Amino acid sequence: MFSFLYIDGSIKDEFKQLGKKMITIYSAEKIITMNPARPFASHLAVKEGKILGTGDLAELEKWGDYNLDDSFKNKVIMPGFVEGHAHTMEGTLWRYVYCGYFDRTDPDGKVWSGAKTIEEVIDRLKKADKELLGSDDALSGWQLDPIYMGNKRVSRADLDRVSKTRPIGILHASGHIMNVNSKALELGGLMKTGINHPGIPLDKEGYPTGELYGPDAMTPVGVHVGFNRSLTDSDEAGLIAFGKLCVRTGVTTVTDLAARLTEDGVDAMIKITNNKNYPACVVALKVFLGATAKETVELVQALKKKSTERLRLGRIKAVADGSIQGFSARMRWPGYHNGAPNGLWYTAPDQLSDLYKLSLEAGIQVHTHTNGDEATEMALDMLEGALRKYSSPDHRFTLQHCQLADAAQFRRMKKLDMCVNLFANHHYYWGDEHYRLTVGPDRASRMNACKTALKTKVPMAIHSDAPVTPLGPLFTAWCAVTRETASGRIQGEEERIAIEDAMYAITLGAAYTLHMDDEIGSLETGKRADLAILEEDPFLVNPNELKDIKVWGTMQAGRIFDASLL
Amino acid sequence: MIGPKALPVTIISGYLGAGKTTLVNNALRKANGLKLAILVNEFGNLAIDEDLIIAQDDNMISLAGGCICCSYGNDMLLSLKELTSLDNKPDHIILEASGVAIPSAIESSISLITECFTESIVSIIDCEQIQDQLNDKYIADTVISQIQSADIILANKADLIKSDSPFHNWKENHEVLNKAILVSHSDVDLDIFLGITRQDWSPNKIRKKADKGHTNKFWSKVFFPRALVDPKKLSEALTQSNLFLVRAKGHVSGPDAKIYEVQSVGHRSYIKLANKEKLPGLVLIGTKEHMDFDLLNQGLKEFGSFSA
Repeated sequence: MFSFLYIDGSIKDEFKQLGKKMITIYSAEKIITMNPARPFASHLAVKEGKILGTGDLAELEKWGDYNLDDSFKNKVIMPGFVEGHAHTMEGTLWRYVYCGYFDRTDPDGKVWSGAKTIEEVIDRLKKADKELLGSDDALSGWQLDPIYMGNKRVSRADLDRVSKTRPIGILHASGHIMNVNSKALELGGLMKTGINHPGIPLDKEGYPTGELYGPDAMTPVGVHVGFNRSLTDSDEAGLIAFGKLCVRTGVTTVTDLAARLTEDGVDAMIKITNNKNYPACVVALKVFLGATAKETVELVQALKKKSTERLRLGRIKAVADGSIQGFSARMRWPGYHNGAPNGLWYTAPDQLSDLYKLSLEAGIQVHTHTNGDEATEMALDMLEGALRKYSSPDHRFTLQHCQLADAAQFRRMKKLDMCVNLFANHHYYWGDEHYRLTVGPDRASRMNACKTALKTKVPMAIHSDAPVTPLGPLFTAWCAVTRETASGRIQGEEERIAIEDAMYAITLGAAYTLHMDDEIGSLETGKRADLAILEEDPFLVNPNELKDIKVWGTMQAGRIFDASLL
Repeated sequence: MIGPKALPVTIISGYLGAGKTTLVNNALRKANGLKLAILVNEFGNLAIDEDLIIAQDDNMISLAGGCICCSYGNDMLLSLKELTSLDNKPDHIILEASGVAIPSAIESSISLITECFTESIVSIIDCEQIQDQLNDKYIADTVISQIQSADIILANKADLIKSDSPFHNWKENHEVLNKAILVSHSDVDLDIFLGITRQDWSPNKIRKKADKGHTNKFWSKVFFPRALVDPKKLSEALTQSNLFLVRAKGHVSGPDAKIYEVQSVGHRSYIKLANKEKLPGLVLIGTKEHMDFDLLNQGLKEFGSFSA
């Protein structure tokens, strides 16, 4: 096929030139490979988007002609981080007003300072109100969390001070509560007396207070304030914005863990990620909802064939129960600490069993959201039963969140060859609430039990669940290492893990849960040239400073992305 | 009071395998001109008998007799609203809940929109499985709340239970199941399942209908209210649990001399202004198993009597 090279000498020269360009050797202050056979190196050779080798320059030179690139000579290089549980909708949310309590960086690198009081939230909304053109355009905000504002309730009167003419809706950080103004209630048909709904508290006059709890109460109003039912689907601009967040946080492979994956949605995702400048590999899981197990497995088998280099399809996400702070997680005895009734099943045990059986048979991987320990128990029971019928080597079915699992449950996970992806960030943001209110001190201390998972040898990842908490594997690692809560308490110190274990969890650990550890997660010959390029060495900093390490940018499949140039 | 244009929604609840889908198919076969809209959580489970299907696209299946079927995915209220705004508006919506849904939560959501109202919650249980389900550590509380919020409980697959089975004894000893109606193959008269849905009410017609009786399981009678009866009080009286009425429907002339439509089902009742001039009279339906005419006369005597 290269016969033309011998006809035209100039082309031949060009090919030589090209050949020269094909190997690039990067020097670095330190390269941490996560490859136990060669844990550290000073140089890294990249060819065709893959890692040719790591070592010192003399070793790597032997591959032949190369370009030496010293741009990272003062940087610390690690394998690109893998976020095993996030939702690309974070990219979409950033076009709304950020109302969170904590500082957070947007896709363009702007750091939004946290709004510490409700007045600050109102001021921020007032400013955004002035910038909107039409007088009846909706104004939307996100990430409000009154828990940190002395648990003061936000009312429609508060938001009416921003505007009475345009609908306003602010989604809470938990995603389970929304605050709206009177106009939004009016458009949703709820600005009236006589409503009798557990998710819609009423004021003294009998009108809704403007707080809406749960999807059923949120939906009728949500559509009027920019939060519609396909919110979890990221649109094209959102996916592009999400890619920028990945670069800023050192992430080169990221999951979209509960996508609807409609035909149009998949086409759009393929189009965006195929762009030669798209900086991340997106692993999108089809959510098991509104279709039977059989339909879902068949659809995912078909989707799997549509996978591209940067969009991986062919996995299923099931949701067993709700959330702990929303009191919709399924709990074993003795239930919620404050006496709230047990939560809800989102998927029936028999449905989950069907899904497991059909997926095992088809060789499709299932990730299952379980929050409460009863949900975890149920998923374990269903998988054990399914495995008796359909043994499937190396299935790596993964429990996601799995926040309240106890030691015995981890031992069962190990027996059943399961993986777990624990919600380390959650412990920081809501650990105090769990201690005080939802599960009490004892069980709050064992939540997201990373140490137990490691001791039990259950393959483990840790995650952010962005946008619920910010994307940022180094922060997630810090959470697992320190187990600090937002109030500064160390909660469950026995479950703290070492820095090296946390760094493993955000690289190879997460890659393993996605069946991608042969391709990413460490810097070894033949793997994708995915790098997190850091200003400091995570293994050498004080554990408390892990979260503050600056990320210069990433390399994804050999392409360099400088966060400061995004 | 229910708005004049609000569409009735019957919620079918029950754990997987209880017979919800068969119940839906039976209703479609018996619809007899009544335009039913079936709303399901997922199409794949519906398995509508093929001979009933006329046309199908991604979101909607058109069925014989002007009936339709849609799936609601993750936005039930929007789907309900869409159904009520169709050109060819259905007469009645049947909402088949998912196997782990709590029907009272669905009812709360429906109460948020004015286009529809919850006509009744019909829970169906599998006689063969129910004892195991109520002992199951995962689903017992879910199944119990499905039964507790029901206006009508259908105890299905009764044909599979022998007459000397401990099931019968067990059923008697569970207060909440006492009113359960034993059925097989989810087969139940549409008047029981969806209410007396025909629009052509006149004392003669209702008397004729009532006299025609029901299957050997049910009795039905015509009740003649006095003039100027408080429709709300009457509708509430019809729900007294010791009367064991399954359903009641008809018209009364209220204290304001306006004609009201009055309905009751299980512990639920509702009234609305009649949209046409109607003569007073109600049809009452109950199970023969629990019929006690003295109690009925006693319980309803302040409102009227069973003879004109």
